[in-house]
Amino acid sequence: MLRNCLLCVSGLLLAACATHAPASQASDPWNCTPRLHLSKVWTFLASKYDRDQDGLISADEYDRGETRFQNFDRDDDGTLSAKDFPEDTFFNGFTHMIVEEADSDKDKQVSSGEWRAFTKRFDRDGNSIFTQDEVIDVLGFWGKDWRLFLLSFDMNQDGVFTAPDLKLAFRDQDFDGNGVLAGKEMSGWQPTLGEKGAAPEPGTEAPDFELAYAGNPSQTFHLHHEVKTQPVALIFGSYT
Amino acid sequence: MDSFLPMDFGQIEDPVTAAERDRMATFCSQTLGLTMPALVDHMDDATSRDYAGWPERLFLIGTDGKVAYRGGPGPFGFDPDGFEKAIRGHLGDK
Repeated sequence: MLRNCLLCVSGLLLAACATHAPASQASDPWNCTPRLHLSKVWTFLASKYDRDQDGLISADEYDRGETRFQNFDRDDDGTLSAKDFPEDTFFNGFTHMIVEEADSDKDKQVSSGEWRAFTKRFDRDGNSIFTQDEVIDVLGFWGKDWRLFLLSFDMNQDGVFTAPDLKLAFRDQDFDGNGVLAGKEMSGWQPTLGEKGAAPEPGTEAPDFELAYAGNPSQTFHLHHEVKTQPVALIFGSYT
Repeated sequence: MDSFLPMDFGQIEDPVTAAERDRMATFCSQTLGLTMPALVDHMDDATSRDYAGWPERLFLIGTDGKVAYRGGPGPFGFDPDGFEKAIRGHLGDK
């Protein structure tokens, strides 16, 4: 019934976790880690873009745009080098989401003090282990899928969510090590999420769009034309 | 819309052109074995922004052109079961 009455469309699928798994593992989204060792990123970038092999990637050598270059340039010295990708530091695709939650005074910065206060909020019973109920108390629906939450935030991968996990998350995000998260440390190299609540409300007009099919750019899908004959399910996702 | 970091080194890098994004979307569909049609947003991410769709979100659009269901922001608000329930309820009303 569903197949006959509904058009399902994905806009670049799927679960964020799968984006970090090798292609051979991507069919099992749990067989992965959201933590990406930054030194691997540097190895890749250096092999591809350091054409003169001087250990630095200049803006001229990197041809994928100023925005990306500036995001990689963690120390803002105008070049990319191994210093921007420390050996013991990881990228976590989800950390920036809870960083926003820790910004209690909403000044778009998170101090180490704010982070400690944020960490304490999880430990309602004072036993130093943050349970699913405690996470839901602080972050609401984020803790609903506990397996996904642990996969995302059990940084030391010991099977439980504790203060050391949040300490590691802060350290990974604190690019300059000054104890304050600000600027690109808040977004963590991810695109900005936009204003919360910006998604169209149920009952309101769906924003129209005309987009090309993957693998067939000459053929397009126009929402408000298609939806006249059948409901349309939209699944938004990103693969990187 | 994509993350800035390269992934699956050698295969996936944040696309900077529509052609690159199309190749990545095709690779994604094939790798994940998707059978539903996949659409590729413009490079300005206009559709993703209109729907606050990044990184994941689910919507059901009714034949009146209005939003019948809006899921929470992913990945933690991604609720396929709730989505299916909403779809079945919507179709049951027809």
